Amino acid sequence: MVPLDRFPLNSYLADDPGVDLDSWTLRVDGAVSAPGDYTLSRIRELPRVQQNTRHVCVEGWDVIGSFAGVQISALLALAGADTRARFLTFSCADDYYESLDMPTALHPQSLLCFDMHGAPLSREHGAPLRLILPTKIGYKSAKYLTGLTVTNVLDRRGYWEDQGYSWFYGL
Amino acid sequence: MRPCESSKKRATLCTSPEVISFRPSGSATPTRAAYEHPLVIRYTHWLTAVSLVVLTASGLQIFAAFPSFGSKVPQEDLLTVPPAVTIGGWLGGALQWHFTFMWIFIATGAVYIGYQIVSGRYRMVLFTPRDIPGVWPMVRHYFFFKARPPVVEPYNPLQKLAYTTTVLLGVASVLTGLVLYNPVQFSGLAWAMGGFPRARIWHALAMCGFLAFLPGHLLMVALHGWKNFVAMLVGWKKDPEYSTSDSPGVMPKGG
Repeated sequence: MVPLDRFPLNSYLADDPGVDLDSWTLRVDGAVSAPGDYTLSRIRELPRVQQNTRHVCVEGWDVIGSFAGVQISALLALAGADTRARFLTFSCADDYYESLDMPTALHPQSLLCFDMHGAPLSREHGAPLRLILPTKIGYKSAKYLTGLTVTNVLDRRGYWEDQGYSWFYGL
Repeated sequence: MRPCESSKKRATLCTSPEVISFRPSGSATPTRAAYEHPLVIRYTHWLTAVSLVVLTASGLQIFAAFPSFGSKVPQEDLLTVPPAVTIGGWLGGALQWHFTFMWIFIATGAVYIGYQIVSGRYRMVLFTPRDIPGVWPMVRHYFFFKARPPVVEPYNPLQKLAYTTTVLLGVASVLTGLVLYNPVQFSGLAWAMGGFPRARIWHALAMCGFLAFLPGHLLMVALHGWKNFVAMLVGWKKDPEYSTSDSPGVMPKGG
């Protein structure tokens, strides 16, 4: 495992988009029976999963980190999501955005991550909530999440994907 | 194809191009020609050549995104890749070029290897242990200008070694590339290569192997004449140097 101070920061804009951590919520909408703003404490009440997994960057480097959070599938169950929908789209505090296919979202190692290396996520690593997707290339693991939509329609695929990177990019 | 005597000491199966003699209209003297490279070989040769150029140039553009084999933090760049030798413009573009020509390269290589095996032509170019004693005399001939060893087989041992090595480099490129492409799905292969970062090194070394082969290959083609080059374009070689009137002869040197 790579020490936290040597875990790379490849934020494409800023290391800190200035999220107000006290008032932060995750807006969940789309094909869900309980849409709304989910607080971090409510998300933290879901079963905690801790995993040491490899993060592979499209640039060619890789690091292993220790990540903890809840399974995306757990939040989808909490929100009553229709998991027959094809996609999840994510918005972020900066203007980054991402989307996932439903099978990837339901993978047991696909996390909504709030702890890293045993402590709450630091701002530069995506506080308060980010994606950790060990089955996907690094840029899919978006930071500073603010919204999650369950949908059958992709208006846009992802910040990098819409510029030419692979959307699926399973590892 | 037919069996032929490749050595006075030992008769082995090999293939050799058929030499024909014909009289062009308006010409008093007959012309001899041999069909050296079947269509499949010519197509796969040039598709592979184009693929390797694109894969190398786009691969260098990809490497430019993180030009190091060390850690990301701190990052120590190994080299600065000159934009003039790259394809794709940026990482995203280069990846698309690389992943497209990856399939062309794999498919072409599979057709080539399959054809060589089915046709039996692999016997002409596959380097085997019995070729080992002949390597050093050819090295002395090419690099130290000593006398040319007697021609006993379609391709000399050094040629066989070079061609066989390129096939192995191709296989190594594909296997290491698969690990870089899908390190989780090919985690067993990644483990065998010492992990994802090491696979990146092996992948780059395979490219260096191809780059090392190229100058020698081009120089030999140039030294052995235009008609070798033409033969890889149209298949036929006019006035093959290896044939005499009473024997169809063996495959040519060079390339």
